[in-house]
Amino acid sequence: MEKKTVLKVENLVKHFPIRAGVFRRIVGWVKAVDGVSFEVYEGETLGLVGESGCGKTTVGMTLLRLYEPTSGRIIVEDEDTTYYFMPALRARNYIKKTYLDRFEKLYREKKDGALEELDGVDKKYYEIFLKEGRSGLYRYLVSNIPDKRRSFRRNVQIIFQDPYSSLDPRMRVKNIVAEGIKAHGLAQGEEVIKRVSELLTGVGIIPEHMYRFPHEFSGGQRQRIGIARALALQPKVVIADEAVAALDVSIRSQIINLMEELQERHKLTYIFISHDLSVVKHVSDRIAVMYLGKMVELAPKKELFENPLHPYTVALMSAIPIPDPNKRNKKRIILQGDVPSPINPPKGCRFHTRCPVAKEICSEKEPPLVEVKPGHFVACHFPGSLKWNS
Amino acid sequence: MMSVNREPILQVKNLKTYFYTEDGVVRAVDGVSFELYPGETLGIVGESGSGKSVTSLSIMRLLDEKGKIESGEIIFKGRDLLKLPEHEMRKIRGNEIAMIFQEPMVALNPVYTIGDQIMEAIMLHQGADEKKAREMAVDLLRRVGIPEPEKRVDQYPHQLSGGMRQRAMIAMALSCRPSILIADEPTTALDVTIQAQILDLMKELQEEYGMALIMITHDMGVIAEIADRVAVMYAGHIVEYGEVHEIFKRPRHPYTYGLLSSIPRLDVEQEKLKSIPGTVPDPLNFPTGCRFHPRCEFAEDRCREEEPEMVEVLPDHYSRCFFWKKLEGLEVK
Repeated sequence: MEKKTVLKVENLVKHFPIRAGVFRRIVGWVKAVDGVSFEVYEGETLGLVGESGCGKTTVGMTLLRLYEPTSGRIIVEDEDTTYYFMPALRARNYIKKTYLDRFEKLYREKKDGALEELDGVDKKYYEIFLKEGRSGLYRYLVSNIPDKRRSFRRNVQIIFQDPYSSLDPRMRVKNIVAEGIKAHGLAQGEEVIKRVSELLTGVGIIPEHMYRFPHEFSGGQRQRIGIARALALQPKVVIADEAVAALDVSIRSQIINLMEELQERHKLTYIFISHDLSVVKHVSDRIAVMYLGKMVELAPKKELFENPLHPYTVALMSAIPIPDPNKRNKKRIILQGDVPSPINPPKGCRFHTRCPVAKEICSEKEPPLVEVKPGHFVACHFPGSLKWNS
Repeated sequence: MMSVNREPILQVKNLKTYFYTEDGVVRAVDGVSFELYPGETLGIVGESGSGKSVTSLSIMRLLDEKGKIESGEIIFKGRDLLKLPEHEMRKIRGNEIAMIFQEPMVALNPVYTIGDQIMEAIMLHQGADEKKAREMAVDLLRRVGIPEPEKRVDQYPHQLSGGMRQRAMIAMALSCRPSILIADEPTTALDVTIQAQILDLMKELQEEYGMALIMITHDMGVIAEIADRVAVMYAGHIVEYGEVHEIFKRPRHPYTYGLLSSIPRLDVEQEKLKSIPGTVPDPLNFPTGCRFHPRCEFAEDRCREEEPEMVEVLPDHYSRCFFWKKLEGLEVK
């Protein structure tokens, strides 16, 4: 069965400026995310795993457009959403460069024939271009930007890591959950209360407690409230950024189970961001491993664990302590040194400074992310050369 | 490891540490007893508020003014630490019993260099002069795997990465060759690949120095990796206590069993995670009877009314549960 892509990220880049001196001049860039591409299919959970500083949270924040991407495209349900939150002039330049000028050149060269080499949004937009011309496509793209923004916000929601700081301490739970419902005009008056009750019941919070404040709840309950808020707008994609990391072990499994139940019930799509490979393994259908702003490996879960190809993935798997004392003497791969700074990432493959199997080429040439098997992508010059038996 | 026939180096007997807060009395540690044998690793595992950190701070007598050790004994090399005057305790603290903490950035003093902080302990406890102490500090930094120790010794904590800072803390703790090292969540703030480095280093150093280690953590994986014996804490009590393979293979307390079954595993396929219902109890208001009963799937009326005592369910394997027999035959995958 053909899987439907709900979200597609192409070459996403997010660099943060470092400012210094009296005039706050830009003296460097933190290359937090540096060219990341992936697709998310409807109803699946894509796990995004990596250590601190790998850029996984920045990917999430940029997808949500809490950060404006430096470059790249973010496509949601066959519409390019990249320019939705740009200032008008920048949006215009983006559209001109990405579509109008490019399509004009294509048309001069190949006329209708260009359609065959395009796919996804490019194809869709080129068809509009052929039918309605340059200005027609431009009008299509820039019309109703406020509506487009609103529907984007509705479709993409987030669950944050820290259930203590992500809920406004001065708002009652009812208002926290209802805020989005009201802003999007999804319900009025009594309907709102009814909707909030349903949502709270759905996440295991007694609806009568909706008039309480966040501090009256435990960490696990607060996380449930955060989940109810994320689901209030019936989003297509939910980004869970370390959603269970701050919770106690016995509470963590409750929340993981709840998220899985809700996914089934509401046909949700999750992007599950975490540093914990064990948790990611449990919840994900496919897993993407990130290192220092790059995606180093992406594969279906089973494939990734049976056949990890990137040395970093292998090392990460071997580093996790297994809760079974009988497995304690297994040989683990211990990486040397620390993660380098994303301000000055190493040349070539970014992992080469810590890689046990790096060769000369690794410090010179950056390996591209290539599909080595259907659905299994890896960015390494020597995939599979680091072995480890669990 | 057969530790039964040896003399324990540390014995904690019926320790009770309470905190007197504005909201009421927090019975953070409420009758905790265990032994530590020379050279072994005891893992203390529990969730937030279980009292695991307060236990270690009580041993070191490092509680803040609200905390008070109500009763109990902490016997170290034949002496009760709780009865020692402060100046005697200072000779033991950092010298014979050392401690490392979760967040080295908080535990290290930001305005002194790494070298100064290590040298302070060496000069205080071993009476070495400054030149000698500096040499020893450089050696220690090299030993814990810090590259370019001659340069690092003059750097400040913020100039080191998280993993390096934790290494520096370990160097400081080991500077006086303690016979006991207490590690309170030493790897929790670190990335897994760095955690693997630090755990490896700690195992190596423990062997080399022959010290006993108390490893406090919430991570069952770390316990399985490093501990010889385990004490599982819940709401101020040790609820299960025994040899590590026993505890993981045949847990005889419902809390341990629930905890072990609720962890996502890298090595086993799981359908749905088992979970412990409810929430961690409020330390101001622990439930009556068995403190775990509101969350326990095996609880009966007796559990609500009466507090269970520690019983030896198997040789050297203790559980604080009336109905531990119900767990017989249940094995964690």
